[in-house]
Amino acid sequence: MSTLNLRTLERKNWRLASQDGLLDVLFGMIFLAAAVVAVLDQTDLADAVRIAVMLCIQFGGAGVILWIRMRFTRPRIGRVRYGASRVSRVRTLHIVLALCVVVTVVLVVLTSLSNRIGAPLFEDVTGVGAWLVITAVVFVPIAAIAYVLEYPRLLLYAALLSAAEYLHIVLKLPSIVPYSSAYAYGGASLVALTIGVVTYVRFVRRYPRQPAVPTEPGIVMEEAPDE
Amino acid sequence: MSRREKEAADRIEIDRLIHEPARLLIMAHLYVVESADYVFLMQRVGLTWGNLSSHLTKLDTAGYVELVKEFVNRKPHTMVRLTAHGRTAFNAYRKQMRSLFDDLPGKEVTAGDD
Repeated sequence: MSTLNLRTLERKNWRLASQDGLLDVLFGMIFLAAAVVAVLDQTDLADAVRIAVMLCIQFGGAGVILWIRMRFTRPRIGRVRYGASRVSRVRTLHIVLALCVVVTVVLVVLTSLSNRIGAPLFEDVTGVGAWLVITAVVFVPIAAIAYVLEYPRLLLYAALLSAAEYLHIVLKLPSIVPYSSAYAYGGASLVALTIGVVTYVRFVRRYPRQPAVPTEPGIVMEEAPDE
Repeated sequence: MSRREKEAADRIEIDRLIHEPARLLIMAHLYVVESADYVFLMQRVGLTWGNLSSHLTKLDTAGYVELVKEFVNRKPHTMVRLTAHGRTAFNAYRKQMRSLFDDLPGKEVTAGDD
């Protein structure tokens, strides 16, 4: 017999929607894209091709995950609209993520401009400075998502991605050990994908697909008129 | 229920519509979200569609919940949400139950203690 606690009930309802393991798979795809780009970095391919490959893997993966969520997850758990406090927290998350994107864009523009004028801004940034930059553009956004979704496992991915970025950009390890970044991102991808797939299989077993339910007994609704 | 039991129940004025365990769970789930559909409630409450529909009809008749019809991908879809009246009734039920148990003596009393 379980006790009825409204706070716990609300939290369980909130967590149910995001804990099907597909978010882990998404992070696995992001790591995989970074690993592939790290391999391509060792070749003579143009920057545009490398960026295109990375975006294809990331957006393609996100598209497939969205499709799986709509096609397989939603019919199992149904639809729910959360209360005002949750909506407000999600809105705050959007603001934090937007700020992180702005910070990233500013950093990219500054780096590019400083490289052009021959005084690279981040040429010798190591130690605390490097960690601050990586924390702002990598760790904070993922940690914010983890906090709002109440999904602590994302902190592991935030730490893995931050560490891999540090190895790749700050220590410039690939110039010392070939494909070291690919191994770092690839390992993180393997961890995230394994966790995600196992979680999803468990989720599917735990929540079997519900038989089609009529919208209301005895009432047949008409189709929506074409707009 | 005997007449005496009914009188006793009436004296403590518990909302019997909410007091039934399945309906209490439905009301509790709807209390903590804005609205949810049948599948979500079936999963969370552990009822079959028939049972859920029957309980929701009773709650709907009492004006505690309302069924909101929408179209999702051009298919009809019903969301269930607690009305303001239902929210007030659920809060009143919580207060009644809390006061009922708060009024009990702190020390456990067993038969024959008096």
